[in-house]
Amino acid sequence: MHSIVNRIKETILPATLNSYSVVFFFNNRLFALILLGVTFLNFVAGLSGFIAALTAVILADRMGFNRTLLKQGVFSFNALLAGIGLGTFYEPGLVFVVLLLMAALLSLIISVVLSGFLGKYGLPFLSIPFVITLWIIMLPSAQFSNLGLTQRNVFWINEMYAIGGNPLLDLFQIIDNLPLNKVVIVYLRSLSSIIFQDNLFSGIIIALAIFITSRITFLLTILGFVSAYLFALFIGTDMASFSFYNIGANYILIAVAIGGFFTIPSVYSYLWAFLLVPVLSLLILFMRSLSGLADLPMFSLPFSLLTISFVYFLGLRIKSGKIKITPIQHFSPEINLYTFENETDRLTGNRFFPLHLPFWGEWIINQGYDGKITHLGEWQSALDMILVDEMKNVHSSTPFQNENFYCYNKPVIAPADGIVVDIADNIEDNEPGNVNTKQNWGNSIIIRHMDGLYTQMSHLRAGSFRKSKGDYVSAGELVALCGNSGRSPEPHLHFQVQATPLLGSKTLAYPFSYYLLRTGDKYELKSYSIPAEGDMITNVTTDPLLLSAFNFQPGMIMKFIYSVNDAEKKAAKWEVFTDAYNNKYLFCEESRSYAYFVNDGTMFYFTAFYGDRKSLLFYFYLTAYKVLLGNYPDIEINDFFPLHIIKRNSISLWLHDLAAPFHQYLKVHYTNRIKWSDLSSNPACVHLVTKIDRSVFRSVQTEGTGKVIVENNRIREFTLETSEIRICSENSAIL
Amino acid sequence: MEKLKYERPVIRKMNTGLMNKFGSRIENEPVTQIDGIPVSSLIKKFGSPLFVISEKQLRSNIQNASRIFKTRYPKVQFAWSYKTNYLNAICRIFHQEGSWAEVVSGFEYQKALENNVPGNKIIFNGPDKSEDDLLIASRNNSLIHIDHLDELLTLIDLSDKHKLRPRVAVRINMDTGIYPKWDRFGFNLENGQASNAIARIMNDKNLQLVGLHCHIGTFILTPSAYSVAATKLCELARDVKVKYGRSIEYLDLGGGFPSTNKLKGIYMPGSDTVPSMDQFADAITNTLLGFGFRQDELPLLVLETGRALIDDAGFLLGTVLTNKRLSDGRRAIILDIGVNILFTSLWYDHKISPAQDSVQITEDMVLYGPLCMNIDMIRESVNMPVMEKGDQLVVHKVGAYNMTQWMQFITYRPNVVLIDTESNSHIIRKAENLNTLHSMEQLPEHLKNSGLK
Repeated sequence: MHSIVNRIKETILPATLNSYSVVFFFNNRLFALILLGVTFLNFVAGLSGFIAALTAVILADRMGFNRTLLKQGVFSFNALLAGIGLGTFYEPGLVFVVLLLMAALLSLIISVVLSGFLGKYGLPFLSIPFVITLWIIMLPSAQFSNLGLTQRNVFWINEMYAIGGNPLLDLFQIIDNLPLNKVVIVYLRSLSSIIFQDNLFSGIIIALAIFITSRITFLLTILGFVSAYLFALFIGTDMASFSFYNIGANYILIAVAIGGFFTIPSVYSYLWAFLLVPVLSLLILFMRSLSGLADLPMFSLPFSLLTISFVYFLGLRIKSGKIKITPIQHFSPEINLYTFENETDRLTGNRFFPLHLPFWGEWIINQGYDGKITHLGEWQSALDMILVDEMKNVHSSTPFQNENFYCYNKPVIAPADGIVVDIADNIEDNEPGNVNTKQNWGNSIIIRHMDGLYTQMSHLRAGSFRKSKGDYVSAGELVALCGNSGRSPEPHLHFQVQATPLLGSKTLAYPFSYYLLRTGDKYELKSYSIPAEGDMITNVTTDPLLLSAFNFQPGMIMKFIYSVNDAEKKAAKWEVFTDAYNNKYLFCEESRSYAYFVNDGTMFYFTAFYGDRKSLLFYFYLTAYKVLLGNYPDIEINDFFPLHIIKRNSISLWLHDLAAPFHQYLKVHYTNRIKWSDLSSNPACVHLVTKIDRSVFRSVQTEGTGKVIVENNRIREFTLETSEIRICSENSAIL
Repeated sequence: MEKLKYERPVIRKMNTGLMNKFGSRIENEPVTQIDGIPVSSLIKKFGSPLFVISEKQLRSNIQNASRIFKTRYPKVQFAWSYKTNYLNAICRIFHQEGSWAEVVSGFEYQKALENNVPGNKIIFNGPDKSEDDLLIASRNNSLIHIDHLDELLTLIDLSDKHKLRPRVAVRINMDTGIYPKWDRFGFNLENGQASNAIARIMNDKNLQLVGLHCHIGTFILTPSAYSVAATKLCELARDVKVKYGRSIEYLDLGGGFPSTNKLKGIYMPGSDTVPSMDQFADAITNTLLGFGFRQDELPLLVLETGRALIDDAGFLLGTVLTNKRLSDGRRAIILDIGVNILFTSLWYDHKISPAQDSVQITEDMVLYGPLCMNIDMIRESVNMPVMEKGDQLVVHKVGAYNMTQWMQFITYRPNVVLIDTESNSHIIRKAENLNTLHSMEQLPEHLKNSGLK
């Protein structure tokens, strides 16, 4: 019994509700409930829609289809639409109910089959199953003598009266008689036509619900409609022609789908949405002529076909251009946009294997990528590095010999863990000024870090190798000494990343994970960058205390005692887990909150948060959003929060949502730095301070400040103070 | 046409012995300016004698040393040896370049604090630390290098009494094969004192052993000695790890690197005899890297180099008071630079250059200081052009120890001027005057009347 209740709560209910919201590409309970209510304005249609959706959900659940998709309503929204459609057209009765259930089954089957076909290409099936289902039932329905066409649609006033009595009817009529512009009326009717209605009342409610759920979607519905209207004026077709059935809805839906759902909302996605509407218009006119032959309405078929084609069209590009396909679907244009913006900046590291600089101390790049001397053609993505003194001389005064070059004989270290796959040795160093073009690379070492990722370091000194072929090397381990062998007129270190283990392979452009760039006496932390010619660069040295304090291993449990606004103390418990994709996250059972994080050995940072925004875990997410695991008091870590995480449903965010695809003037900045440490090397206690600022255009305002105290190899306590809230928490146990 | 300078006739003894195989040395190139400022204008502005320090050379030295070590070893920290030169301006240049402070007395410790060095970046060395000093250092989380057993016991008592957890290192002395063996500082390794001291620290609940320190001597001319010292420290660190499970965080190899000054009794000039800093760095870092520490447990290498970083950045300008011939016929020149301000002339043959174009003829001569003391001799025998009253000269490589060990004697100690990297001169220590000295004196009431009329 308990399991059934759970099943209903966990899967069936959310899946059925989401069938409603996914019609407008949402995943939102409130929107679903509103839409559900609106469908019941035509009681029979509403009920039959609900039954069809529920049937499809239960069937899909029992048969064990993908539960994630099921819960998103993806398998059942076609059944919902088919149900509403049937309820709109036919008279209720036993035959009708049987047909309805069959329609639900049919649309589920078509949905699953299409998802199998199209899913391989990463494409959606949209409302094609609904269209096919309705066709299959409508075309032969004339022969079903026990199934009667309904006339309720004609006498909708009776229907309305039956549901809500006089007051509803009055309201309904007031709204329907509002002195609105003709275009607005058609827009609203088009919206209502998506659920087979044709009135302003439903249209207004749906429009409001869309606005509350997503400003971007709302703007796009208008954009799509305006584009269609302008095109109709331009071509000279009748306005009414596109409000017939749900033809107008086609324009609205394609704008929403292309402008903000399958792509990241931007000027370009808006532009494409605007341009695709006239194309869709052509397609509709074409299909209307075709389908008219078979006496079938098109419903949303043109929209579905064009959208699927266009998404496929975008996906086949070799380079992602200005318009970006949504990488991870959050079922909200706003969240898609904010996380995309945030993650493209922040999560570059996920795509790269972390490589460190192959030397100790500060070296200078004397030939960068596409260097003019030797980094040409297939070998363009290589770096030559040397040492210089404070006067930028490469060697001490006299005489001009290898030993007097600062970089000569200096340690060359492994850029990352790996296995030595090849070593070339025994090539004598050149006298400065001479080159050995026969043995171009000189003494070299090639290290395999992972499949398809090798690093090669060349022009090393003969006999200086500390490792042999087949040895395992760990990051930062001494492997050889810098020399002047091969095609090297002066001692220098040649470094390249390549995809094969062969000496002198074609180079790969590949960034170093983290390093410090010096300009004058200022140091800047670079992450996942490629140093340029002339850059003075040093490796980041991590600190054992910070490393171990932020080393959250799966299975670890952290307990905190905390107080909010100095109220009574509460306890929180977090556990570390990994998901199927090996992403680590902190989980708080009590508040059902998840905070995904990455610790790449140099930086600790959170990548996502889901759950209760009043939980201690959320405050920790805010306070320790990104922490450099090295003791560098002068280096400030800067980052941005994804907007929707911080500012939820505030007016200012809503306004910003409207402008966001064009310009994001609202930003929530995060800065973190070490304020104090008891020792500059191997400290036992470190205080990290966090500042959260909000900027609107140019004006910056502090939102909150936080502090993390790290001691005894763990996070001892953290505090966060904003204008509204003050959190003090102390680590009570680590298990 | 300017009147030619009068060159007095000289009778020189013919040397018919062995030819000098190194040929004649040109050591008398006049040095007329320091970092772009003429010596004559410096003396005119700031008086004679005058210490001059080149900030450019100083920064270049520390950057050079830093590069030499940091490109060979991943974790290196320099600590400025205060006793070498603790003028605040000098210390701050080193601190700006990232050096910590290495002090050997309560006075130097206070000086480091006044120079805004955070307590945890001060290394407290030396045999003379008072209870107060130890308390302050512990409270500031400074690194206390314990020199002897009494100090260790005092610190154990103090930390217990005041609930402190001082971070300490043990100063070790050892046989590295060089002479003289410095065994008066710290605990001896070979006879077991060192492990005894370590055992006491490890058994104490408050003291935290974080480092091992040795300082094998001064002006060491054999890099291999450092290799021996580093090996012995590494072995000791490994023993601590094995025995007590505690990783030693840093190894302090002390200082002792020579400058290119020429020690008395060595024939060749310093730049030819002194090993380069690279050789010392190779000796130390190769030992540490090759010892077999785990990559993530490599200890921090601390260096307390003093002399090698500052000696050649310091100059002493002086003026000839007179010249005369001694009874044995040698020429003597009397300068206004006395041994009281040029202490290092007791062990170096300082290079001295005339500060103006001079006659070509040179002569062996003695350079005396102005003091009424027979020991006041700057160079016993040096081949220089003859100089006359008012001529100026430059003593080279005087940056280390002179400005800390100098004495006020007979006359005042002179100005110290820093020439910054943009060739501006700044007084960083004012010359003394009568008031300076009188301010410290007190007269008992009965002596206020001097009696003479």
